Amino acid sequence: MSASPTIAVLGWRTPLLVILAGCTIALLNFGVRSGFGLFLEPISIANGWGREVFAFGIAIQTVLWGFGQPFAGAIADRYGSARVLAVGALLYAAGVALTAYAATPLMLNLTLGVLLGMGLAGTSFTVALAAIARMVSPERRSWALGLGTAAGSMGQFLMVPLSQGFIAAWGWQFALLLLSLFALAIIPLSSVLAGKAPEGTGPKQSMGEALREAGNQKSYWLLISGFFVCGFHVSFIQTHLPAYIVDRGLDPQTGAWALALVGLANVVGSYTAGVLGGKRSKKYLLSFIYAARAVVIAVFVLLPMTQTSVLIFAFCMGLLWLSTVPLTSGLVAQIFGPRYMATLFGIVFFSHQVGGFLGVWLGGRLFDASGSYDVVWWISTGLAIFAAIVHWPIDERPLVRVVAPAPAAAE
Amino acid sequence: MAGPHRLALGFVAAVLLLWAGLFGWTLQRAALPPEASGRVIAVYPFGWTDAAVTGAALQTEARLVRQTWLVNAVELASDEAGFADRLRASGAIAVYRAQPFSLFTLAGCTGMPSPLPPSIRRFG
Repeated sequence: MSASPTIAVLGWRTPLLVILAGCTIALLNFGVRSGFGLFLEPISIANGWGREVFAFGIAIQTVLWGFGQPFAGAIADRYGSARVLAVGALLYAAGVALTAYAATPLMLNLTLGVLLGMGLAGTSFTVALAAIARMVSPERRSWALGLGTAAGSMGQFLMVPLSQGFIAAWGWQFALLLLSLFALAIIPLSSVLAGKAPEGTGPKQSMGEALREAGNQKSYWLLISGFFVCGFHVSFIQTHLPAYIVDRGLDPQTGAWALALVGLANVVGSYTAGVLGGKRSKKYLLSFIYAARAVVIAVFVLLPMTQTSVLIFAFCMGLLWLSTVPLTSGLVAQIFGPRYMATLFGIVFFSHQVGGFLGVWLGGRLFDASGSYDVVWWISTGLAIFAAIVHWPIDERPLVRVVAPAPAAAE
Repeated sequence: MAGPHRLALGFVAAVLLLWAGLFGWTLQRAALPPEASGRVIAVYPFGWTDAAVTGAALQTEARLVRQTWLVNAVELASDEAGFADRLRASGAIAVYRAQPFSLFTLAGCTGMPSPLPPSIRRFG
């Protein structure tokens, strides 16, 4: 793995170390928060609260996490990823640890909601992946982004049972303290990702100029539109698939196994997409992924539902689940360069979260209105076709920035 | 196999190894003492059928609370002291305090817990 002159590699921070640290950060960030759902019941029971208190804290966290990502990305691009990751990890750890001692709903909103939301934004995917992207050679970038995404998915799969084990062995309060140590581990790891991206060979660009440049590019808006669809799909399926399966007469276990299978296949799919993205056109791969989602969803809805059909659907969707992340983030780096990637990908990711919100909300809203999920499944199919189409015309060539000629000196 | 894939596999193997050690230790610490009673999850050897597991568990005069998503694990309840010990005597390889756990949390893109629909909220 060699470093090209355009990559920010400083001293001992070799690409190998950077990749390993970035992957571990993604694993911890994704993993620790995946287990929060397990604390809903013990925290609510211990404090005599209804479920809505905990749920509201999570809602605040989700909103802050989503809104915070572009800002965390912007700060990372300006002052370096390590600082943002370290401060984010501190907030993350403080939020997890103090949640254990939140005795009032306000306190829970401040810890589980505000502190954790900001911590999650600071240690998020967008910051870690951008740091990996700018420190790994362009030839290895897509693969590294795929590995980072797969590591995040794996963290989710591994940390949930571990969190459960912590609760069983030591009780929910001490379990939260243990989990806060995992979040703290991000701090030393972040030092490996220290440094800002070099300006590259083109003209120097301010963040405002980079944002204006991206905003004027049709390809950037197409990427944002496409990733919105990804968020819609995964959130809708994650939230409503189990209920849909039960409504169609299968047992809840099938729904549970289906989502576990999605999570497992997701690890393979994310990594494979990263590998393929280094060899093939990323935009065509994204078009293929969304087209495949359209086919998989349509076939699933049209065919009679059996346990086998559910598990096949889950496996196929799992392969297509976060496989969009290394390709979308890779395209941002490829077109605009890694200098302001955290900011630009943070904005793209925000559209993913908006799509996610709509997927969850519309799923419930349209079910209540029509008594069935069919309409939302067909909306999902239509959106998948839309996303497959919008990725096709993306111009994935790196932007060429020309230096304006200096004005002639006055005679 | 090319170098990058070897690195990826090595990373996965190292993480799995660490995880297995930590998880194993945690499970050991989570096992209930012999005198414990209340709502518990009893884990029987892998390969035991539903019927064998339920039959063995009910020998202890426990109340069956529910099956779990693992064929060899079952949630039971009893207020009699020494319940965990009796379950082990009936063949259980481990007995844990019953906790809400669900596979639903394993596939989130955002990592946030998904709100379970009312019809399956009790399923763990």
